[in-house]
Amino acid sequence: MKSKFEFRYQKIAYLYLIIPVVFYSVFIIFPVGFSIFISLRRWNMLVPISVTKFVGFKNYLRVFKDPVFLMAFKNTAIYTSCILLIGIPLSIIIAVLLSKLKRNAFWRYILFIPSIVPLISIGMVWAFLYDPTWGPINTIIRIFGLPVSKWLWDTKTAMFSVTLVGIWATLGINTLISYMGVKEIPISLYEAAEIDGGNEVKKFFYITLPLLKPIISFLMITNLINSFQIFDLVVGLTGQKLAEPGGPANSTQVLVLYMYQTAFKYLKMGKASAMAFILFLLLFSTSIVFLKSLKKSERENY
Amino acid sequence: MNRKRKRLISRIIIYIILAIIGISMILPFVWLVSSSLKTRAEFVAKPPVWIPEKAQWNNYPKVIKKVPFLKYYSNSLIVSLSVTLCVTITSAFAGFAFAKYNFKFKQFLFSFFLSTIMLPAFLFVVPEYFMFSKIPLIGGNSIWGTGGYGLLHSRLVLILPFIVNSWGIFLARQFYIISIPDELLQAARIDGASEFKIFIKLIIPISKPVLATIAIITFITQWNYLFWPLVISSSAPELSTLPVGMKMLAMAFDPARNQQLILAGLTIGIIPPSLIFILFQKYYVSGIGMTGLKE
Amino acid sequence: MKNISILVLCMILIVFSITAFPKIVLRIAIHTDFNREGFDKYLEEYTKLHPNIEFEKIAVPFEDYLTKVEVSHISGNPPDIYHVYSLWGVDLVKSGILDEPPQDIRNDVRKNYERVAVNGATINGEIWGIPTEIDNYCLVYNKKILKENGYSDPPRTWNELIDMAKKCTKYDKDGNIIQYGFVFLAGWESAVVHPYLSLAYSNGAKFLNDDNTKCIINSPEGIEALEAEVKLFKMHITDINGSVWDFPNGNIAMMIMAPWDEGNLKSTMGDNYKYVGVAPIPVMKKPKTLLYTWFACVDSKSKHKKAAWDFLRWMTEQIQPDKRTTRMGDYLVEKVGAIPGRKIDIDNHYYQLFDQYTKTFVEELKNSVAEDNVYHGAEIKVTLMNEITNAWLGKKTSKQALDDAVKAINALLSED
Repeated sequence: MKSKFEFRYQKIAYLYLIIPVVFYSVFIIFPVGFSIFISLRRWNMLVPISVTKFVGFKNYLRVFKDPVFLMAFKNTAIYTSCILLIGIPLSIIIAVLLSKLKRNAFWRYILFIPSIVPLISIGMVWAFLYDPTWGPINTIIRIFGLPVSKWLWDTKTAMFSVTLVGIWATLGINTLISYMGVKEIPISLYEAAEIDGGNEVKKFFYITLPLLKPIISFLMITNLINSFQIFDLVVGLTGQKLAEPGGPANSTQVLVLYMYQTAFKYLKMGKASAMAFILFLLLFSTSIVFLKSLKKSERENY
Repeated sequence: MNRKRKRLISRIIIYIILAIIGISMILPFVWLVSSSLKTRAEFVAKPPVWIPEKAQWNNYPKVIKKVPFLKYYSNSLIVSLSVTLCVTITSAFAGFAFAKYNFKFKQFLFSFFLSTIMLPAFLFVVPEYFMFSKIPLIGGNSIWGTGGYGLLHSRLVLILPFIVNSWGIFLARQFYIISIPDELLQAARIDGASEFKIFIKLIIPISKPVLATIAIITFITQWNYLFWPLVISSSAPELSTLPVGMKMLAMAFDPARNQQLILAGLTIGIIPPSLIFILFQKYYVSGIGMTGLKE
Repeated sequence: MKNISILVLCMILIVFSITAFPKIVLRIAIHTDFNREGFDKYLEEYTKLHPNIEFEKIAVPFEDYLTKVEVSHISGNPPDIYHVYSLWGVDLVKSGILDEPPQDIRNDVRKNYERVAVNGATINGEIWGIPTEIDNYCLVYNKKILKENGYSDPPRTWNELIDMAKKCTKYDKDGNIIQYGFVFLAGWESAVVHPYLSLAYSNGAKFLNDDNTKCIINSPEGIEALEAEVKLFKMHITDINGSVWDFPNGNIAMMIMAPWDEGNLKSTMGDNYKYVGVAPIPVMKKPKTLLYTWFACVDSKSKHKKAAWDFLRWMTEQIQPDKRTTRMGDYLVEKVGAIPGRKIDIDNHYYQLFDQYTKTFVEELKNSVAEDNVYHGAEIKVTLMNEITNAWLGKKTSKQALDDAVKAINALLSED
């Protein structure tokens, strides 16, 4: 149905888009190309690129053989799946509970707080909270007479501790966004279900969840993208007492942190770029798979 | 009667659950502020001291004397405001173009813009760092971009990579599609107004809410952003923003012995902005939600 | 008319720029470590002597120092003067970050410095900076705690140390350590790797083979040394939450420390400083300890190389007539508490160096083995630290940890 008339304003449309187009060429297309280019070379940023050695896919091979990278990948994957599979369901449940209260502005303000504080400082505060000897978390646990943990200072519990803070930090904003979706669901649907004798659990699974699908998919995608790039939180949590963030013994090493160290501490730009490109492929493919499966299930539903 | 009672009980349970979650959300911050007023002895005392006996207000001057918070704040403010301004303007124009005009490559461009959200930020760090250091004729560079440091010591380096934002464009486009009927545009065109004039005089005033939302989200996100400023400030410490400054706190004070001072520094960095940001909760959440709700 | 006025303006500008005092700002990257204060005095003194020189101090945490040096150099506006850890030397020279010192400085260094210090600043046979401090390791202990537990002398062997540390450790009712018999410092490469290597050397192990191409720390001696450390964790005498920085709090009996901690201990312990005792590291087979050095150098992209080297000459070469020492020597000995690299500074600071704290360190110089400086040194050290931590925490056996470390380190050594 596109008539010629509709294309009359083509020029002005291009004019409106000129800054973004230039921006994306300079700050997206060029860097991505450049990254791929240097990922095939060995470059320490100190010498001109023209004199660097072409090494083919050696950097990629090296990355896949690097135990620290594999560790970082595992940790990132654990973190991301915990956020997606524990954090988001939890926030949806809280959103539903929140919607049962008429006056909930106060709660919404409180839930909002963690999402407006820089993640680095959240990490730093929690590093203090987690301290095994004088940290308030262990103090509270002791009051209840439960066994205390070493949290960040034990390779077995360190990544778990990071994930816990990650869920804490994202819970509020995810809840608030889910709450927006819950609020949009017409009450009449619930009333109809009540007449049919449906209980709360049934209502949640048969009305709330299906209607929340767009919001859930949105949360999944955004949280996936953010969690895969987790950096600030780990630096905040482990960069204080343990001078080298990602410790102890790489037990909280994550992808972006390792890339940062590889690039700016060890000056291996080629290897770092190779890792960045692998991360990009990972993110891109998981997001596409996600979107596809969501679209498919949507089609099945209607 | 029975039903009413059941309702009351369920309501109490909800309150209890929410209270537990609510407390867990703010308790770390309460602890932060109270501990920043402790002495070192109170900090490590056993049994723990939750509220300091006498508030050590002089922890704060001690921190401010050693850590240039004013510089961090002004850097953060200038950078975040500039980015916000640019993003709001570019999003308004681009969003409108996508919403109301037809042109070649529209679908392609739009999907391309959106897909950039999936690109990890690190992919850009090394190339952009290189690029900014090689800008010709700036910062002691020759015409071939060699010899100097380019833009690396200018605030522009913290601003330029963020002046366009796919979320902002998407959000603006959603708004224009939903809230501005084509008839309105047609009517204005019949009156003989130019497209640009229509946009400035008619559309911008109507789209104030969405622009405010974009501005708020951009500002808060930029304010809290660490990664790029961290890379830049490692060679240009004068460009440290607030999150970078807070990261350096642990370095300014020995973290094994001056915990209360580090916490005082964190309080200075966290609490004032949060108290302002919290007022924008509704816009922020609805703005983010809007991009998700109607896809 | 217009042209003439522009010409005149240009003339005025040129004349002005020639006659105006050319101010030189020298930028020095200084560690933020808490015991590095007192340097300002020398900067002020120098500015008084040379009014056209100004200094800008850039404080950098030790952990970020290497990154800072490298990234600043890339960014093209680097600090002029660095004070670098010898271990980074190979990387810095290989990537062209360091400026070649003038020949007179090279000659002076060769002639007037301790051999270990000269070796530390030597990369590929050439001298790349002016050696400053020499650091080795000794056992630092709290006499009071040892005495309370019935010991009047520090341990001489590692087994003795374990027994004594066990007795000095106290727990709360949950089993947390409240008084440590011995502490390490997890997370900081040097604080993890150096004490271990000292112990390994003492047990007869070697870190690298003779031509520095292979790591051989997973020899039986090396494994045994790591197991000796792990024993402290297994017996719950120490844990990774313990930190050598807590020593001034008086709840730590023993630790392995370097001379530069003196200033810090003195300033934070007050009266209790009298309880600080220093002894050689308890031996496993023979007395050996690790040694590392630092040197001052100039960035090759610095715009004021000459001024920078001049300042360094004044600081490290010029002998003050009254004291017969250099200013750098004074600073290192009096303010930092470190051992200076220049022979004359060691000789003429006799009383300060042979005090309660530093004496043992100076005496131990004879048993000290210099750290191997190799390409990728920093990354190699982090790798070894992580594997040692794995062993400490019981995540891997000592053998497994060192085997993994050797594998990773050999991969790094084979990179060019």
